[in-house]
Amino acid sequence: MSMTTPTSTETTSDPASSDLAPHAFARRHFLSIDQLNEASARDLMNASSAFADAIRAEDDIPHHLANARVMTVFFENSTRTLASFEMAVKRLGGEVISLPIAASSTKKGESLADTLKTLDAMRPDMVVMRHGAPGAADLAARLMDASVINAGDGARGHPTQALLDAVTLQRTFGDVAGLRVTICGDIRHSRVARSNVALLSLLGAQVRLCAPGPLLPDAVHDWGVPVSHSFAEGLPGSDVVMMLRVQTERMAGHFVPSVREYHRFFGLDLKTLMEHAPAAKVMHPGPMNRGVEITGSLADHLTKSLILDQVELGVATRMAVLSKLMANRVGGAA
Amino acid sequence: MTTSALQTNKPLVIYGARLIDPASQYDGPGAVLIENQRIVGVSQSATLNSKPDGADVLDAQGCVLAPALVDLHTQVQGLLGNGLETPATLARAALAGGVSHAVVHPSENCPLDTPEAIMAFLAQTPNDGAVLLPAGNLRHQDTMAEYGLMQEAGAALLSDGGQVSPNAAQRLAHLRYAQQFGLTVCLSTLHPDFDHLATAGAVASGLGLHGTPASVEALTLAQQVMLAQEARCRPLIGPVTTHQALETLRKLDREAMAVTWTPVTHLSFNAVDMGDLDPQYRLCPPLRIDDDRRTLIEATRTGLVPIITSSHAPCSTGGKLNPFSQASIGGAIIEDLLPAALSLYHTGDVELLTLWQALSLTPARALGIDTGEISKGAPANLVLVDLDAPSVRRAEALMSACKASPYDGRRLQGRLLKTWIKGQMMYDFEHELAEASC
Repeated sequence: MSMTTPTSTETTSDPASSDLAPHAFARRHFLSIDQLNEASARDLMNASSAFADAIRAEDDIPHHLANARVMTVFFENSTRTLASFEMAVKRLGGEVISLPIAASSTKKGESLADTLKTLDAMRPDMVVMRHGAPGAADLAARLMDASVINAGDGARGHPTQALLDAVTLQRTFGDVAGLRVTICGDIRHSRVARSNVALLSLLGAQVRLCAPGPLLPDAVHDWGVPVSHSFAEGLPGSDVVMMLRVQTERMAGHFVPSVREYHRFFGLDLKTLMEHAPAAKVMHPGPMNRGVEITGSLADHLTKSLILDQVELGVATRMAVLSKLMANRVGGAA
Repeated sequence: MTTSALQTNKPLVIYGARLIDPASQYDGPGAVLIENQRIVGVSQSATLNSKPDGADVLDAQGCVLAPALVDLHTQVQGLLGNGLETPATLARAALAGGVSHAVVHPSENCPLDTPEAIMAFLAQTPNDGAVLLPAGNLRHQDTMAEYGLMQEAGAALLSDGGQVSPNAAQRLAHLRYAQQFGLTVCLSTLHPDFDHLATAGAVASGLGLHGTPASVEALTLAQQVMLAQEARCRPLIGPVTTHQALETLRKLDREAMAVTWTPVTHLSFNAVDMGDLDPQYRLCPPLRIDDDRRTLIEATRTGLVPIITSSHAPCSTGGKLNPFSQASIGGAIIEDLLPAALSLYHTGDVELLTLWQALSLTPARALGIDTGEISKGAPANLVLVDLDAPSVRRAEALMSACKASPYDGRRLQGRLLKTWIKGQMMYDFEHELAEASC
């Protein structure tokens, strides 16, 4: 797989102009990768890449969210996703209101539905929501007039993360189609893995999974992707190794016996990577457990790691999604 | 509904009907004469040869006249309370579902685990509704409940209420003790070590839901059957919803064969219906793959699973306004039981006689109650049904206190027109329609 210069595959004066593409994403809410087809996914990726170029070039960015109010409602902790969305809204000229959920009414016993309806009554244009339960964003979409963006709902999905990962791959390798991507770690509990398997497969990548058995989802063999239980089996031939975080509470004997055993067999360092997949790049959606699933030196490696590229492109990708949904909203999308 | 407006002590002739009687396996034209709460005349022609003077006459115009339904599996949310499903609201909702008798199982807020609780339940059961049969809880807190005293208080049978004790030795002792009172025992197939949020498989894992393997139902079923055989009792066991459990049933010794039941929802829906994580489809057990549903329909056709239940599990409507994994489990099904089951007839999967046997006669016999057939001397517990009338089901229009149902918005074919219990018309669709329009 040859490397290409990290530039957009499409240059336009307005990064969001691909809204007009015939297969553009035309929904009111962005809840799941299942809402995309290949054309609409590529359309969003191209818009993301164009925003990334504009940010790097310090070009003026059209204020697609001028006069728009975007609420971020995060029921689970987040650093990069929350900051990334806030940055994206501000770059597009919108106003962002972050709900301090720890002090919100839900902590006083208010139901999620009541909270959502209350927030919607304040007439935000969009709501970016993260919640621990699968389907929470779908519920919000059913109850709210605002456009809802799913920023993670339990283990079900994290569609903007998958999109930004695809944009990172497109800008690094030129195209996602044909790439061999191995996802390693706690796939069972990972929304990132689910969204990435769906999107990367849609875009023509060959996705593989590598994890200890208890950290694989039920019925993983129905996902239609190869599964392995060791780096020796799973990494050879990979263009990209996507590492996933393993929460330490899951390493107390229920899913894997201990942190040290997990690190011994499923912790990736430069030596192991060079042994099994010397040409591969490494990604991680964050936050990382340095010294557990990935060593610090590999995460910070100048030529192997794409982790900071993912963070940078996260803002551009979220700008593309926000712009698209705003345009759809104005256009009366269902 | 003011049922008194519908009731009369005069004899009643119903003629011109399509008579469905699973007991005699008769499906054809017929007429009946009802007097003093019982069927006193049955004709296998469209008319009766004679009718008593002063009798009311009803032209059934080709509609189906059949035994009222017997629902083996329902729950309430409590005995009293605004907005909750109580014996009073359930008894009236049952009438609107064509159900004359409904077994009410223990639940979290209505544990039915003492003689006093059984008496309190019966005290709240109205006279103008369906007959509710409370099932005494096998356990009172962590100990064996007072089966004998609960029976004296009016418990019609015993049930684990879907909460299987993890202690098999304790369960065996419970069954042996229940057996000495001759009480029917209803046992669950829900394994106590799993959460039953979703069925393990491609749909659940794709949605990020923790799945319970479908085979766990077979595991529990086999264990329950064996324990019952050891205690020499023949229990009612359910729900049966998976092909693995059906395979287990097929392999069982006929002597060990328990009477099993399946919820109508699992004949209607499959796991794909959960695809957009709509909490209306959060049911227990969770929805299965379509192969399971198809196999279950075949088992209903052949009688391997001889009983269809509503598994009416009322919940708060607000409880459904949560993400799927946090949403209330269940819904109001009893009013949709008949039209949902009739869809198996309309698709050609199950004959009408077989269907009615599973909805009335077999559960009646399993409970040992005198209903479920149309014969001279039988109690006049009947329903009149327009098989072809289409309807769009609306949960908000249900008579049940619970306004959540997986059938909400679904188009079903077959409408209940009238329900008689002991010869008294207790539900009349046209009367309801007129009251609603007022």
